Amino acid sequence: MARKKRKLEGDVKMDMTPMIDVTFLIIIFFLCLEFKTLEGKLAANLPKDVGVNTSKAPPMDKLDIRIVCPKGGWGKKKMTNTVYANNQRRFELIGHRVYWYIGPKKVSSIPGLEKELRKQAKKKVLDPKTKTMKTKPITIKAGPGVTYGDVTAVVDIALDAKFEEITFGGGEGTRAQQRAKRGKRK
Amino acid sequence: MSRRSRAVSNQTDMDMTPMIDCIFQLIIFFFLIIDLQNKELEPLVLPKAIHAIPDEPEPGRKRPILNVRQDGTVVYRTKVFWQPSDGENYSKLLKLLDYFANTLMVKKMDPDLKRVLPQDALLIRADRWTEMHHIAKIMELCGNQKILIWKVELAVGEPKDADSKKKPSK
Repeated sequence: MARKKRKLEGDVKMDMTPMIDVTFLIIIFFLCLEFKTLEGKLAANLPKDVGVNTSKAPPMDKLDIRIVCPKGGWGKKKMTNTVYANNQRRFELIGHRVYWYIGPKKVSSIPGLEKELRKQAKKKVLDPKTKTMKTKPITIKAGPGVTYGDVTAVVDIALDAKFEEITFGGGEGTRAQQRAKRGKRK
Repeated sequence: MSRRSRAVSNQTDMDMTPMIDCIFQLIIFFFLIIDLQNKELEPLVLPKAIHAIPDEPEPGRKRPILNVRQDGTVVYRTKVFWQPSDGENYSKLLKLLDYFANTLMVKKMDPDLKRVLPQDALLIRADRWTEMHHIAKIMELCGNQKILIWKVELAVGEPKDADSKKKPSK
């Protein structure tokens, strides 16, 4: 009887080494994973003195950039296989195009925009607060039909041209809202 | 002699159970952490940019992040705070921005305006093809007297070859 028991005990003994090896590998894998997706960000400001400051701000030369989506520039929607949590399918815009107004000057290509912004970045203005020369502050205004990607592209080019202060102006509504406004006028 | 060697082999026998327990606990912990991180970031296709600063969040800190889907739906931690069917009713979103400005963000006295303003930036994540108007609306709400968030960051994807001089495609 005693001999039988000893034999059984020997059967249930397991070699844990491979399992521990695997678990350690899993831990190392998780530790090596950075807990973030590879993303970047572009810093910008909003006008902080709107409706708050009662004192008069000293005047400073600014550069307005208007992004305009022309008629028919929205492009055609091409549905993708990606589905959002609200069961909506993601789309891509094919043939989407925009142009830009840098002050009064119209620019219709990305290289043209880069060239113009680099030129504008060379023109320094006096900052009345710090009394130092710096690049003009930029205000980006987006028209109807302009997408987030169009705006980030402008911010990216402005940062490349060494502009320091980038702010956003008010939007002009969505394409649908603009169509509704035009309909009312008629 | 043989008796001695048996005694030595008995000493090296170790109970692995607590260690395996610990390892499993660690694995569960990592799984949970990954799940929490994904809650903040909606699966969106971000536009690419060359001059983006890498987004390096402080571990364990709640961040003010707004995700904007293609139709303008605003999502924070998987909860919807505005959707097109809400129309001009932005009350939920205003409450959320108020929470960001007055609870999550560090505030500091602005010497020019002589007012206490939030110093942290609001991270806006939107799909490459989201109409800018939706983001502009969020920015407009940030200017509310109770909120006054003035720093924003636009989330972008880093190009695969960040050092290349290739410009964003149009």
